[in-house]
Amino acid sequence: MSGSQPALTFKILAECGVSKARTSLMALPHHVVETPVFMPVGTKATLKGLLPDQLEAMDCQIMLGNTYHLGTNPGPELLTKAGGLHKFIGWNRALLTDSGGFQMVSLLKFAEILEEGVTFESPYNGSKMLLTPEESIKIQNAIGADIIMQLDDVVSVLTTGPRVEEAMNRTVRWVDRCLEAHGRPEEQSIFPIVQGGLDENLRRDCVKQLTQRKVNGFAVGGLSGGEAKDDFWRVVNLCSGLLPRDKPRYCMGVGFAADLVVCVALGIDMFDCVFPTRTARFGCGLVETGQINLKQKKYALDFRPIQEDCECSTCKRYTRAYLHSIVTVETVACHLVSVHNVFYQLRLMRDMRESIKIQQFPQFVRKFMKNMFVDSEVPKWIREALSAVNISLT
Amino acid sequence: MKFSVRTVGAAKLRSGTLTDFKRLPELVLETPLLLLYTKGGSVPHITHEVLQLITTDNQAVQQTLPSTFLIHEAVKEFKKGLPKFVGLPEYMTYLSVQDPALKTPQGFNTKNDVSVWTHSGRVSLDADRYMDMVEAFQPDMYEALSNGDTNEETTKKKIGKVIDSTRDFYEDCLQRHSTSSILKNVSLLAVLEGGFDLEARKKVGQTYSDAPVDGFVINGLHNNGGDVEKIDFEKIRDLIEASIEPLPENKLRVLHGCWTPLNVLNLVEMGIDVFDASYPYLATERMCALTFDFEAVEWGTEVEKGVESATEISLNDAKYREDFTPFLSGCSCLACTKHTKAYVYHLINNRELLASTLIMIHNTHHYLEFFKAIRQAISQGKKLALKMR
Ligand SMILES: [Zn+2]
Ligand SMILES: [Zn+2]
Repeated sequence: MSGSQPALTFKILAECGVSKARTSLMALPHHVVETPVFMPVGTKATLKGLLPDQLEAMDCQIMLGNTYHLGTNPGPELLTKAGGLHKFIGWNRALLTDSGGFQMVSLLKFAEILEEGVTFESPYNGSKMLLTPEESIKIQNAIGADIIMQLDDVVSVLTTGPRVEEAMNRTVRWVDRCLEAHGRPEEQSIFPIVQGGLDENLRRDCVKQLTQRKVNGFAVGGLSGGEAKDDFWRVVNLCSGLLPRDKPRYCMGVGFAADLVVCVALGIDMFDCVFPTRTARFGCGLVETGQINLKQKKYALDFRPIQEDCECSTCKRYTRAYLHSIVTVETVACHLVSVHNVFYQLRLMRDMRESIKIQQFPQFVRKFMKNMFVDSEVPKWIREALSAVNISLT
Repeated sequence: MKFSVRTVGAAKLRSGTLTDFKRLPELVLETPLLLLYTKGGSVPHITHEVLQLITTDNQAVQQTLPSTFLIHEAVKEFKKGLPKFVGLPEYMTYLSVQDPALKTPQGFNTKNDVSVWTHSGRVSLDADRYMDMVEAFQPDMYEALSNGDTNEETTKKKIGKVIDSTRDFYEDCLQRHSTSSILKNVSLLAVLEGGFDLEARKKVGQTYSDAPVDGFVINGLHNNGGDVEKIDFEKIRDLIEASIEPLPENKLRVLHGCWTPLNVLNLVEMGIDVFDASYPYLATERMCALTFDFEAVEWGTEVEKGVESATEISLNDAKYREDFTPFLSGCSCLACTKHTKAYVYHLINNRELLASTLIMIHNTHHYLEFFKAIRQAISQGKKLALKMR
C-alpha cells in the first residue's frame, strides 16, 4: 500500500431524512465497503465450507476473523510466512479481526483480567499465559486485516457496580497501549471499543475519552450478552448519537435481522455475527418471518425454495424437500443453507442501503417489520426504538 | 439414447458418443465416459455452484439406490424426476443398484429381494418395487435390478444362484420397462454376473448377447468399496474378457468400482466404455489429493518398468504445515490456483468442511482431466500411459 493513502476513508453517500440511518463508502486497503454492512464470521480462517469465490459471487465485501483462534492456530508466525491472512485463505477483499479478548474470557476457564492484560490457562498445556494489549495488536498486525480491534476489558453486560467503571477506564487505558504498539498504521485501522455497560454516564464518559484519540472508527461493545432488548437499543442509540458523524460505527455481535434493521435506523454502520452460518449447520434457513428448521418433517414434500423470491444460488436450484432429505447428513446441505443465509443477510443490508439512498428507509422498515411479525405483534422494544428515531410503524 | 461407437486399431479400444437423450436432446457425451459420483443426490462436498467452478462441460452423474432410496416418496410426489429433485437436471443421470464407494455387506440377498444400505440402515426390495422407484426417478439410464453378491471367494453353487436370480430380476424389469410409458426412450442396461467362474461368465454373456437393452454392466467381481483398489488385475482380466466377448459391438459396457488409474487404463484397452468416480471420492475421504501423472504414447511403446509414481499425497501430513505450494504443480483447478497445501493442512486440523471441498474440487478436476486425456489419446491413435518415476 502506498503511504499516502490512509488506511480508511469514510464517505457518507446519503442520510435518511427521518431516522439516523446513513449509507456510506468505507475505503479500506483491500476493498471499498458499502455500509451499512454485515460481516460474516470466518472463525478459523474459513467461512463454514464456503469458497472465497462463492462469497465474492454474492458480493460479500468484508469478512471477520477471530484473533484468538488464528493466533493459536495456525499462529502469527505461520501467517506472517504466508503473507498474511488474505493470502493464506485466498480472500482478496476486506477483513476485520477482533482482539481475542472476548473469546478468551468466554471460552477459557480461569481467564482473569489484570491491568497488564488477560491471563489465562493454555488449553494446550495448562501453563499460565498472558495476552496484553500489545500482544493482541502484534498478532493482528501479523494477520493483516484491514480493520483491527483494540483489546478491551470485557465484563458481562449484566455486571453492576464499580467493576463496570473499572472496565471502562481500563479499556481507555488499553486503547492507548494498542495505538502505541501498532506496527502497521498505514495499512490497518484500530477501532477502540466503547464500554460502560448499561450505565449512561459511563458510556458518555467512555465516548468522550475515546473520541479524543486519533482513530478511524469506533465500536460499541459489551452488548448482545443477555441484556434486556430495552437496555440494548437505548445504549446503541446513546452511543451512536455521541460518536462523530464522519466515522464508521460498528456494533459488535449483532446479527438477527430485526436487530440489524433497528440498529441501522439508530445510525450503526457495521455488524458481525456467527448466527447465519451457525444456524445453517443445524439446518435452519433464514426467511422473511425469521427462520425455518429444514429438518422438520413438514418440509419433506415442500417443493418451494427456502425463500420464494430469493436470488441466491441455493434458492434458484434446490427445494426445501431436497434440503430436508440431506440436512445434517451431507455436508452439501450445510453449504447450501450457509450460502442462502449469508446471501439473506447481505441482501437485507443491500436493500437497506438502497432504500436510504432514495429516501425510502422508513417505508422499508415498516414493510420489513410487517413481514417479520406477520403472526404476532411487533415487540414493544422495536416500536420504541424506532419511534425514538421518528419511525412509526403504524 | 443413441450410442455410436468404433473400435480403434488392433486393440479392443473403443471410442464413441452418446446422444439423443430424450430428456436432454442437445447433450453429447463421449466415451470412455466418467460418471460423477454422488451421495444423497449431490457430488459429495460440492454444490452445483461449485461444480460449475470445476467444469462447465457436459457431464454425467451416477445416482445410486443406497443413497436415493429414502427420498423415493418425495421424488414420486415431486413428479419431475430425480435429476431435477437433486438440483442436477442438466446432467445425464445414470441409476445404479449399488454404491461403488460403499462396501456392500454380503449374504443378505434372497431369490426375490436385493438389499441396499441407506444411511439409516438396510432395506430390501424386489423387482416391482425397484421399477416403481425407477419410474419415479426417471433417470436417463438405469441398470436392471441385480444380485451381484459374488467375489473371488464365492462358490460355484452360489454363483449359479446369483446368475439365476439376476436373470429373473432382469426379466421382470424388462417386462415393466417395455410396457411403461414413462420409461419409453429411457435406457435399460442388463447386468452380467458370473463371479470368478470363467465358464459361467462366457455362458451368461452368450445368453444376453441379443438382449433388447442399450448396454451391459459387468458385475459380480467385487462387493464395492475401497477394497477394489487392491484387486490383482491379472486375476480378473480373463473374467472380464469372457463377459465382453459375446457382446455386440454397438452396445455400452459399464464396469463399476474404484479402480486404480492403471487399472482404468487396462479396462479401457479391454473395451469398457463407462466408469464411475468413486476413486477420487474415496481419496478425498482419506484427505488425499490425486497426483498421478499421465501422457499419450504410441502403441507398441514398451511402458518403462519403473516404480509407479505415487498416485496421491496425504494433505493431513505435518510436513505440509508451511508448504505454500498447490497440491499438484501445474494443475489448473480452482483449489490449486488459489489455495495451498498449508491452508488445507490447517483446515483439516481444525476439522473445517472446506478441506474436503477443496480436495474434492482438485480430485474431481484431475480425474476428469484423466478421462479427457484418455479420449484424446484414442482420437490421436495413441494410448494413455501413466508416467513412471
Ligand atoms: Zn436463497
Ligand atoms: Zn488441482
